[in-house]
Amino acid sequence: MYSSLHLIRKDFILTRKFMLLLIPYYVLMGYTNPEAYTAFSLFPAVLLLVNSCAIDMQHNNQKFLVSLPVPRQRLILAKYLTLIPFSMFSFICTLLLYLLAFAMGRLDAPLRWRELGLATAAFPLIASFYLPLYYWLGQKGMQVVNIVFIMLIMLNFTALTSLTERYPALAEWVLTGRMDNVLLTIISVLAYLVIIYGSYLLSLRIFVKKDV
Amino acid sequence: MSDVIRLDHLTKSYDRFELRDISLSIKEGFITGLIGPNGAGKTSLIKMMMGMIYPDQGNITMLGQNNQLYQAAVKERIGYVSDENIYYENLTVKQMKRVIAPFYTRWNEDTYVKFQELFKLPPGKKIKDLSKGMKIKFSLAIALSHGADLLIMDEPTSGLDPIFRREMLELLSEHIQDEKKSILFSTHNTMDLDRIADYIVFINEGRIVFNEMKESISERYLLVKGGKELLDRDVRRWFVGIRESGLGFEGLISNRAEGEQYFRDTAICETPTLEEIMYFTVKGSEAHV
Repeated sequence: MYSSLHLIRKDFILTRKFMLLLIPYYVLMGYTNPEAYTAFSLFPAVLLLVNSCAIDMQHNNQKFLVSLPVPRQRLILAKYLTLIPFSMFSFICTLLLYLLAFAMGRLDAPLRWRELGLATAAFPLIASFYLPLYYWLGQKGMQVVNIVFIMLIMLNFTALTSLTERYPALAEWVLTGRMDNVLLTIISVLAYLVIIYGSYLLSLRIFVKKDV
Repeated sequence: MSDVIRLDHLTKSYDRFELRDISLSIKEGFITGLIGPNGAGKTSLIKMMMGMIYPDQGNITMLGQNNQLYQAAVKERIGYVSDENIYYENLTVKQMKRVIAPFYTRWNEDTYVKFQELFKLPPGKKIKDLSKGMKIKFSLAIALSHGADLLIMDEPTSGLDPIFRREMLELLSEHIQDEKKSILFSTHNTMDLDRIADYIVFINEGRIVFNEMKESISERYLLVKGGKELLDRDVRRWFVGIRESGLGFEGLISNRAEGEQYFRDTAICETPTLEEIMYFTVKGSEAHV
């Protein structure tokens, strides 16, 4: 298990310069569109994931990872576990952005924490589609996928923020915290977990026997 | 004397290349040289040992354990030095070491510092800014700092200056003084192996030509130099490979006793170097295609 932590630490060492680049992103987005702050917890996390995967893929670095005394299964597990700190990083940055905007008077409404949680939880779901492609396509294929993926996320930015408008039950939960349809909620949560776990199993199947 | 590496009937097919039914064992406590021309399959074989590529058929046992079932335990005891840089290019030497060290339970920081000073590795320099020689030195420092029982080195001397090349070979000779340590050293520069190797594995066109002690190879092969009039159809068949010129011929015979008996009085008989054995074997296999 320690090796997973070392791999997560490795991802943070590799992406820390990229994290610094996210500061101007938050400053710019916080200044131009502070009302949409909840969505800011998704895009940076996706960028961090794409960046860490790209670094692992280029210049024979997968050979380095495979040469380490870590089973391949653990390499994949660690990549999925890295989603948690990346989510937390984006979540905390967004929270700080809100507090700053609130203190400066650019926002006066209370924190929409359920909406923020929803946007944060969307990241592992998106990563569940991205990671099997990453393990399957390798370096060349991923360059195209990365561009398409980031464009899709950007195009769907407003769609994600208006998710609550499309699903009234979700809107009610976000606004009041009340859940009338408990069964639907349970099914949604289970589906969410099944998709992530299924993605993990698929990545395992692809990468465990892949030549690097 | 146990085997540190055992390959049983390994097969791996690519579009234009195939490793065919490779079986070999590497002995503990020795330096084994893996030689062969470019594209012979040396790197593919090493990548299979390191679990980077998977054989279509066959089994690999490393340090007494199946390398697929016990990936982590096996690699904990292996130091890998590649001719290509496998490290993160944008990290500094110090950062890269910090990434690697925690993965090894037997990591010895004092040993690393010793090698860092010996190799004059600049801790603050990015990996991408290191010369090829410095990258190899860094790989070697890492491999020697985690108490590896087996060093697997893929073309480690390519791109090195002659001084460090010699220093590295001396270092490897010292490393092997502990009889529990073993080294597998792939190269197409056979002069390195003439200096330090105990065993030689020769691979050509995806097949093992021989796996023998270095001394017994020179006892087995004979280099014959003489006039062309000595070569008739039957005599040609004895040769592994022949090079003919206007002045005469040079050829390699794999049955030294028989060759000496026949050519002793009519031609020059010499002990071939590894390079000559490799050259004539490759030349001979091309002629038979």
